[in-house]
Amino acid sequence: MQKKAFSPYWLLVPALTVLALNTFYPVIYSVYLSFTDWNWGKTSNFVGIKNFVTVLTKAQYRGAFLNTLVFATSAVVIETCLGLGLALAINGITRGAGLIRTMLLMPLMVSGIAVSLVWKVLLDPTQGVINYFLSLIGIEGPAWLGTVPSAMPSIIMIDTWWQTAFSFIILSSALKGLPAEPFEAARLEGASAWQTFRHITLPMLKPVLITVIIFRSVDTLKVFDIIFGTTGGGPMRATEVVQTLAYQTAFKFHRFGESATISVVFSLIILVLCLAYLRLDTDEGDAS
Amino acid sequence: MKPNFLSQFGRYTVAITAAAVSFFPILWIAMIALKDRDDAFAMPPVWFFTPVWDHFVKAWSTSGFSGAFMNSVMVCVMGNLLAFAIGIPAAYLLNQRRVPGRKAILVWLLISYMLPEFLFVIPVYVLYQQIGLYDTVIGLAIIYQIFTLPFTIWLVRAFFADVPASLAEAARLEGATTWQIIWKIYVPIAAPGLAATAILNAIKMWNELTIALALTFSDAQTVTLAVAGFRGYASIDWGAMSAASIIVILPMALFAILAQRHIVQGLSLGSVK
Amino acid sequence: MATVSLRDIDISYGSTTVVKSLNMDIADGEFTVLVGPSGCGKSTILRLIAGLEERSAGDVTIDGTVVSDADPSARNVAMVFQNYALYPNMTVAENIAFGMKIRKIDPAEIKSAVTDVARTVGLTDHLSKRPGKLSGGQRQRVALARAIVRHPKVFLFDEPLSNLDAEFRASIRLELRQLHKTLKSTMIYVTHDQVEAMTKGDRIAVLAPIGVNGTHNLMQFDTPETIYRKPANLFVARFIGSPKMNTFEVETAAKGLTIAGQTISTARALPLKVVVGIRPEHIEVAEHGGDKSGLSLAAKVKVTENLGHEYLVFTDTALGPITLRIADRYDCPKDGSDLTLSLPQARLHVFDLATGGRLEIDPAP
Repeated sequence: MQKKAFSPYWLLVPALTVLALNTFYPVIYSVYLSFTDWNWGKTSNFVGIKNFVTVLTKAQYRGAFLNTLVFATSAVVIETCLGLGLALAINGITRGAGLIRTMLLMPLMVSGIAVSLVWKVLLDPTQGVINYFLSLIGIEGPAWLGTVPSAMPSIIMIDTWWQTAFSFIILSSALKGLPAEPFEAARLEGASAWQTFRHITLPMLKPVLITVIIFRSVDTLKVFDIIFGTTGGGPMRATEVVQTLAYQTAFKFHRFGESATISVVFSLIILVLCLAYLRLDTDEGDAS
Repeated sequence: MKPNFLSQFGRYTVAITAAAVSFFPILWIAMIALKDRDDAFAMPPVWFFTPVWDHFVKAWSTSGFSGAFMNSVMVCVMGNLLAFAIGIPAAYLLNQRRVPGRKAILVWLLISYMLPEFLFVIPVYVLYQQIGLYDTVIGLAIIYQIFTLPFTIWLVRAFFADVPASLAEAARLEGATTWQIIWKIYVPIAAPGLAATAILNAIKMWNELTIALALTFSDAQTVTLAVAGFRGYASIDWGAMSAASIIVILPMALFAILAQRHIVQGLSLGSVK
Repeated sequence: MATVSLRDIDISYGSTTVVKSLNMDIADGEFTVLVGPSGCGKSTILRLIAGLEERSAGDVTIDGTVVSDADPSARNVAMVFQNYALYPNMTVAENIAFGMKIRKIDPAEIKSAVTDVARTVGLTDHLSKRPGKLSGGQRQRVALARAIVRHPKVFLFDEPLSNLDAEFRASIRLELRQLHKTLKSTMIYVTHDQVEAMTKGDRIAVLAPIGVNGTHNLMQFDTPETIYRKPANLFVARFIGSPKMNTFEVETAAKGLTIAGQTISTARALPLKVVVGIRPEHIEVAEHGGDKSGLSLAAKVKVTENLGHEYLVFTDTALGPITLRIADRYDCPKDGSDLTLSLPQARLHVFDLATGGRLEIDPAP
């Protein structure tokens, strides 16, 4: 008689092989590089923790980490609030909701590079349409991406245009999935719209809200495309972030060891976020 | 309940404003791409004009652009095939509760998805140079698995979770192998979800910049890189650049229009489940 | 067509034991019902026979062959699931044919087999529909057809009627009986509904969660008559019958027991404390002029429920609350009125309070 089939672990073998090749090898190699002064040349010397000292102390590097933090925090806060507000407003709409959703979704489909080009055109100080609109209401538009004080806010604005749809879609789906009974009960008890939001909607959305914030945090920390495509980190390093720094250090100045060190330190920060997320995930008693 | 006209009016105002803000920049670029040189930056803007296609012709015939477009199509197709071929069986197994090590593998997938690109781009650059995968479409499709595979497994697993386990059990009793259960029962049932996954994967790969920038040079250049090329010209040809942007946006925008429901479902599943 | 036997079966997940020391022998062609409250392991046992569940100890034998480690597909058993488990992406015909297609049977042969079985269960007009377009009763039939078409040694049913409306349930129940008569196959049927169990089984296995006595799940395995007339223990006595059997604790004397001041002498010595039970339908009411030879007991009516063909009367007595059933030919007693009940001795069940086991009290001559 035919014996019971062995638990089909082999189904996992190809996936785990690819996953291992794609993660273990690069991580180990990068960690190794971070202790060397390799510059794509023939020699590669072991330099101990010299790279780490440089990365953690050099003002330019500290600036990039700081810029990344400013960008990520602002973008995540703005996009999450805006996404939640839009979800609350648009979920009550019956007619035309599909069309509006599609239009809102549009920016999310656009590559970071195309986003950069689009906004470079729109924000051009002299020929851009945004400053033209502003001039119509009597405001002299700034140079946007061109000056130190306005560059980072411009990048944050571009990211908001680009990615708010992500928070919106997920929060909107989550809102639709909420049970109707608590809201009906609240209405019977005469709760105001704000009270209902504060005491019923928000607590029930919390798990999804946390997921959105974590995912957006990781994504914004890794920001590269829209900076590479617009300012390239300038002016005067005002928009230089970790990933553009890692890129330039390696591919422009060929200091691969140092670049690897930046990424290793950065990965640790992201890893902590990942673990925090998983911790929250299990705390919420997630059933999946 | 009495319909609250004021609140409905408010909702529509918000919705229409948001939709306009989302859509206007793309529309504006499309207009620039279709205007002749004089109209493009005329202030006040010219809203009505006869479209000219010169910029599109020029963008498309720019050296390497059409090739890059095809490369991107190939990368999306190959990356999806690879992710599905190895991700679907894995997703099926990871959907079973009693698999030891399941949790650890799911965490590993999440970490793979979240790693910053420049951590693996340099080692892979070195490796690809040595084994001849540098500047190849297949090489790109393979390294894209670093985010495509976790995303596929994550999503497909959620779609498979909606299939009652008793279907697999019934099929087992009838003599079906695990392989047959996956491809003849689970995959057809989850087909709409798989389509959503494929679209989201394609969008991510089509739009990816960082890895493509580091691992291709000319032969395997993707369309996103080709568009980036327009940025670097000494004197920027705004018309051609806008046309190129529209060409790279268009396929994904079509996805958004045709498969809005699926994309929304895929995105929400990925983060809610 | 096969016997099924379970030998010393233990099933546990980690530290949770679900099934313990289970022994059952099911005869060829028998219709066996596994019944019990949730958590008693009835579905787990069914799935073990199918090969969908792993046992920790013991052996499963089908048709004389030990199949404990055999793949489900090698056991030649068919199962009808609670949610029917139909493949939504296939038509009714494809659903029925799936197993044969997998086995690469000749298409012409498949077609004739599908046509035959569709006629048997009355699905001929629905063969090209998908399950989503069918009613609950029709889906049930597809699930049945899929089982029948394979000519399995054993049919397994996992609460197949629980998703159906009451009216469908009665008719499918009848059809299942009919089917069993025609096919003469061994069938094992799981339900939590004791009425369904009583009406269907050749034999009934009453199962309890392992916590009930700690050593085994199987409380009694016998014909419906015996289960009803001579429940082997307090658990079975209370589980089978609706409303539940009335039970009350009684202290025993040297050679007998005293209930409401009346002594029944017994031939053998009894444990110190026993539980006496009587079913609501076996209690006579003196005022109705029935048999008055039983133990007499004064009762005050608390509340009544009118079920149409009978009344359920909830009373308070010296022994505690007692429920009885009164046929509709009598008037329904008023709330608060007094009744004199008569408990016929032959209808009393006596159980050991300590072990819950049944005691035969053979009255002394």
